[in-house]
Amino acid sequence: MKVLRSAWRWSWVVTLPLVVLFTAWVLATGRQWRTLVRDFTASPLALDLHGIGVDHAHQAWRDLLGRVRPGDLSDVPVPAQLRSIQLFISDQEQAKLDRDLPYSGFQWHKAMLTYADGLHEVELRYRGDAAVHWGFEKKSMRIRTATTDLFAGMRQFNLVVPKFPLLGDNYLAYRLARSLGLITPRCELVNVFRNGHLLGVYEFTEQLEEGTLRTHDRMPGDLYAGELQGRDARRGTCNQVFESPWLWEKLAANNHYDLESRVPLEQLCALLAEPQSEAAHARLAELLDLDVWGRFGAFELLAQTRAFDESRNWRLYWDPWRRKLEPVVQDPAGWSAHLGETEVEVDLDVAPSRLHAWLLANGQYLVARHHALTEFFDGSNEAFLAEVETTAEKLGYALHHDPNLRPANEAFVQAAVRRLPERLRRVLAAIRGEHLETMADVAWAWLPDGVVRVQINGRCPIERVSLTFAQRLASTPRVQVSVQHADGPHVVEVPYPAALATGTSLMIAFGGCGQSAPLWSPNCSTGARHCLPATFDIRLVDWVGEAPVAVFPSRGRGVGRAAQRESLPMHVHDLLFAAQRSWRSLADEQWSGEVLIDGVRDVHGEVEIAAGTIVRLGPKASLLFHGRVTARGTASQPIRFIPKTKDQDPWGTVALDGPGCSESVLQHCEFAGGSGYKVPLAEYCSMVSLHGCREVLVQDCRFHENHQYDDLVHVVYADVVFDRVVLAGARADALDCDISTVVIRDSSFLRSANDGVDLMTSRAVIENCRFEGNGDKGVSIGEGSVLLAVRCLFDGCGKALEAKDGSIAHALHCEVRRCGKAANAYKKNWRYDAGGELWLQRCVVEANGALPTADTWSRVEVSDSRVVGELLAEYEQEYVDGTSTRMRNTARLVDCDAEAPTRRRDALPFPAVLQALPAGALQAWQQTQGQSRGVSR
Amino acid sequence: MRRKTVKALATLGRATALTICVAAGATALLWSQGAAVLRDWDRDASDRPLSAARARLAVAASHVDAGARRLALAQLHNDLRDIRSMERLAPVAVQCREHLANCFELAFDHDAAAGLWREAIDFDANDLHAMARLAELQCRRPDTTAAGLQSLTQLIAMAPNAPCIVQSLVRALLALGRPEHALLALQASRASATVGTFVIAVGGEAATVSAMPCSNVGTNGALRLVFALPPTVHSLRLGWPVFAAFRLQTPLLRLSVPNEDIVVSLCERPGTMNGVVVDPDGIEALGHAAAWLNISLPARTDTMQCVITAGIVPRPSPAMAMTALDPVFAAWAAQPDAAIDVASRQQLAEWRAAALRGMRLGLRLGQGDALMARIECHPDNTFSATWMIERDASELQFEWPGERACHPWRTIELVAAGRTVTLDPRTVSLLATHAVQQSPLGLIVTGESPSVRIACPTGDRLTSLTVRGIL
Repeated sequence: MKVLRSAWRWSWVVTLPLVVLFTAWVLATGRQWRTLVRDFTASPLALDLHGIGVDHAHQAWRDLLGRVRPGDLSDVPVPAQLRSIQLFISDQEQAKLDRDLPYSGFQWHKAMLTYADGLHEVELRYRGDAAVHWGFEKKSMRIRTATTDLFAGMRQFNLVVPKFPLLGDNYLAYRLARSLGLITPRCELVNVFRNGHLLGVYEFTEQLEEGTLRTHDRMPGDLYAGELQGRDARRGTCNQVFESPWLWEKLAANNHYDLESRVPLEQLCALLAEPQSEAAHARLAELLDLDVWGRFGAFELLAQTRAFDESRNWRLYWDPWRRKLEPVVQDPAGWSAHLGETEVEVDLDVAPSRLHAWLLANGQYLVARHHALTEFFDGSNEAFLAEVETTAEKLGYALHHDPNLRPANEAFVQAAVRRLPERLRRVLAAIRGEHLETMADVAWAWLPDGVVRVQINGRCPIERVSLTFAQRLASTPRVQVSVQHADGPHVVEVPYPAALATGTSLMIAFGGCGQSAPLWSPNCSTGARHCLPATFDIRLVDWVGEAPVAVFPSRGRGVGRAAQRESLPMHVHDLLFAAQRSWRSLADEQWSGEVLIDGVRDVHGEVEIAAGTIVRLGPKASLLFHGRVTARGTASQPIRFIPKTKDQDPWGTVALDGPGCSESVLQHCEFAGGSGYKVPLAEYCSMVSLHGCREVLVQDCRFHENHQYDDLVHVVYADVVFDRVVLAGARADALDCDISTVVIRDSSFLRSANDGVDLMTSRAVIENCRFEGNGDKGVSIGEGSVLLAVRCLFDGCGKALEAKDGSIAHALHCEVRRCGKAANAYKKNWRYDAGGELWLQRCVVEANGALPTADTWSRVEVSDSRVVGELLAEYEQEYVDGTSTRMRNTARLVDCDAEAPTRRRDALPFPAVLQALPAGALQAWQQTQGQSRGVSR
Repeated sequence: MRRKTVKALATLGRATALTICVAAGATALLWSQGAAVLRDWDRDASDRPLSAARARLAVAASHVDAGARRLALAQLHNDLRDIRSMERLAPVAVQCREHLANCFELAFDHDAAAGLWREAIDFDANDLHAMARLAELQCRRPDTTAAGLQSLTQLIAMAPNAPCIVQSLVRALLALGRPEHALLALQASRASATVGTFVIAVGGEAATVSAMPCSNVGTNGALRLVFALPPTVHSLRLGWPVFAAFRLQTPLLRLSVPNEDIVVSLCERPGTMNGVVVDPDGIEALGHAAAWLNISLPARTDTMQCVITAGIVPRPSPAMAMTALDPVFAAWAAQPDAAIDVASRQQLAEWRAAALRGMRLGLRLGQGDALMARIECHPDNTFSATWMIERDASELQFEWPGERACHPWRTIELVAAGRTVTLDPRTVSLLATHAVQQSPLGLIVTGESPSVRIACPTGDRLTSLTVRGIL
């Protein structure tokens, strides 16, 4: 009795803590249930009272353990530590953010963020309308910096709460996408601290904008966002992104066109609304970069993502110079079905939208996807899996210390982390097995009239077939490949050398795939497919010989032997188009004498232009070459591209357009009287346009008298050598290079209204060139370009050299005379973290309006040079919008005087940054170094 | 405080704490053992506010009397004023506001309606339906006409065949007295209706989450959908492209399993459907957002390869054709031949046919339920509706569905004892009328619950009654 009485007396020691805990639990559970279940929809989370209660119990237990268990993030081994983001926000601002969730979270509030050099002011708000982003203690955030104060080169980024147990679903999927060469936002797993208190693990993700495109070496162009779910849904419409281009938003726009223009999307939506046909698929191939889409398809398969469906997550980039739509990976939520406790089947096809339905019926896409998968498994597969393991290890540590883990059951989450590498290994193995290693049926039968009927089944495409005959083939027969569609046969001629007889074999470049029909399954948002056979008739025209003795398809990783059948049925190709590459007539053209061009002429074959040829172009006439051009004029017999008649309106453009023009040669050519050419889907902003071609040589050519459009020559995504060329009197820039590599030797840039050479994200070596009387800059080095200029003369230009926005230029043994300003470096575009760097060594700088200037973010150093004049302490930096700011001049003169000989006689070390330049750069650097300053040795 | 009192309070505290601990234990037990019970309670409790609000809305919207309806909706709207766009009750609040705005518009209180549409846009900045309705009202005011039309043009670009937006634009243009432009707007919506992507689904109510896009591969005006179904599937749902309006002529489903081909007509024994009309030779989609037809399949043990084929005949969308009955259109169509071209006249007739075809008209001969007859349209651009009656009647009361339309009736033919009496509804003497006016163009409905009552002139047992009109 006494014991009982004593127990009763002291019972509060046990019951009181329990009461406190239970009351706290009841209140927290009730509050969250009311918010996330009764008042709001927590979708896609499946929350209920039971789950919330359990989660809060786990959370309380973790809190309790956290208080008694010593240790923090500093205990984590350094290699396994995640980067930390330190945010500071006042209680007042925090209270405003949290005042009326989720609505109040969408307003920006002031905060501070720790940069490498200390605290900087930023703006912060919550992001995401799903409850996972705002309904718990750890909330997803968006940070915005000032345009003059980027964080790691970004104006805006997101700190996103990972959706466990999917753990790092986006992070790893982004990494995979990047390894496949796709455009993705930057993403990293980080620990986030608010006011010094750890909030937990977040996905640090760049906000997509034009800067993302620049990071991926893409020209600024339209970036479209198709997002019609949640708060983005449009009431009154069907909320399907491909129904209307006007339901998309533009995240970035090409300012050469109306900023609201959506012509590429209009064409895509209109195309997808049509029935599928060969003609429609040909247009699809013109609109989409199918190689990139093949990589995107491989990514979707490998990441097992169904995130890109009829209503969400689409980001499409329109490259105005390649004239192709390219996917951008956004919020992929990879492997979301595979990271739960139970194993699920691997999706062997992914087709959650109508665009996928089209792509999976496009033979060229299937081949591109196959190539991407092959490259991945041959190259980056193991590296990726190693990264998965490293990430799992890092996450294991980070989650242990995450005070706001959700679900709060750490054992459950850690188990998911541990099984992550194994699950992903299984997924990748299944994809590899089905798409690369399963050699499904290939059969053939000999039909009358020289027809080999080939039947293909399975997911692995065939790229060639070899027909083996009993006897040696005297010549290559004419070959046609035909397929049967519902509306009739489709025949493609396979020209030599795509069909090539060698010995007893006839090799045929042959794009063959099996068909696949959409297969309904209970979870068919994945887009499961049912494989169906496809039949191709290879007709040997006028064939009088025997049947082949064997047929060897080259498929996937090897060559197999197809099974021979007595007969095979012809399957109608309902679900396979553009399987066989459509070979254009590639007959060489030879031009000589006078060639008249009116209107716009596309030339797809290779063209050889004889010396002395005069190409006369009518008003607005343009020549678009898509194959290699060999124009070899001579000094006495130049090749001329000139107006058809005197005093006519200018002609348009002469363009080497696309990779087919690689290895073109223009020698002793003259171009005069042109302008440019612009249509809704294509732009050529110069008289001569070199787009997307490699190893082009332009030698002893002269470009002058352009009209209406800006540039004399525009190089984009190209690799060109200019030797002994003269560009004179450009309306704006003489040579405009965007995302290209150029070598310019012994050339002259005279009297351009704007720049002699304008570089954007390009690498250039300029040697022995003259820049005279250019209205603005001799060479403008902008937006991450790298330049080596040696023995160049700048005379009478507005500025000799100007470096901007992360660009670096080295000028060696150059002379700068009579220019408005010798050189300048500044930060022009806020998207870049830094200004420009200019290094002038062993140069002559005299008789200029002003010596070099540089702003706070830039660096200009003139060393061991002959310099006449004094550096300005301050100067007015002018900007493109017409404003100007008084800046402190940070340019420096080192070892400079008014003498001609160099002070140092030893060879200058080759700067590491110039190693990114073409091979000739090192040679030019080494050969140029003389004992005198300036251009003379 | 007395020691005894303190002691009593301490005891009470201990007892309370113990009770709470017991409650905590019971809760723990319930949480670990009775999850199902808890989930049932949870579902009930969380769904109750939503289902209650839905029920209130249904009751309020179903009031026959316009004033009572407006009052009930206003009350509900007021009760839901604190609900915002991300909450579970948001759809109910949106619907309530929409009903209420419609009530105000019918009562010609455009300012009140516009206020509600503005409120809807504040509630959800992506509510294109509200934007269209607001723009339509703006078009009715001279000072905001230009802004309204510009807004509607932008909305049409976003959703060129969404019925709610097209109808707003057409009504706005008609209100501005521009029937030719209104007809062009209707025709443009017809041009943008696509036949590209259908949806194949299985699984009844769950069909929306287990649907797959299926692309049309038929050419030359034909439909050809190719897909596969696993053997476990015994029915499928064919979903039309959104807002699509066309007729599938002779639609067939061919099922192929090894060694067997089965051909099924989709018009025979059709299952449940939404937004489509099935007749013996075809299926017509009416232009709704979610048009579908359920199809039963024979049981098989292998994966079935399926091909659906049909001819495609584009049709005006009945979902947006009601605007073609607007009196402004009727007046325009009544002009002499020189003032309106033949093609436009024919296009308008097709739209009016789409609006009238299948419309159910009511005929009341006295007390009791109304007899219903469907309107049929004929190739000579006329329409008719016939009631087979066999009853004595002294008065005839006609009732229409919908509001604000011109019903281009020309004759009412009454057959009694083998004798036919023909009346002209435009001039016949009316005993009573509600929201209907006689006009040389026909009968113009001006408001809700329209009806007219006329005397039956036959005097004998009425055998049949036929209403005829022109499109």
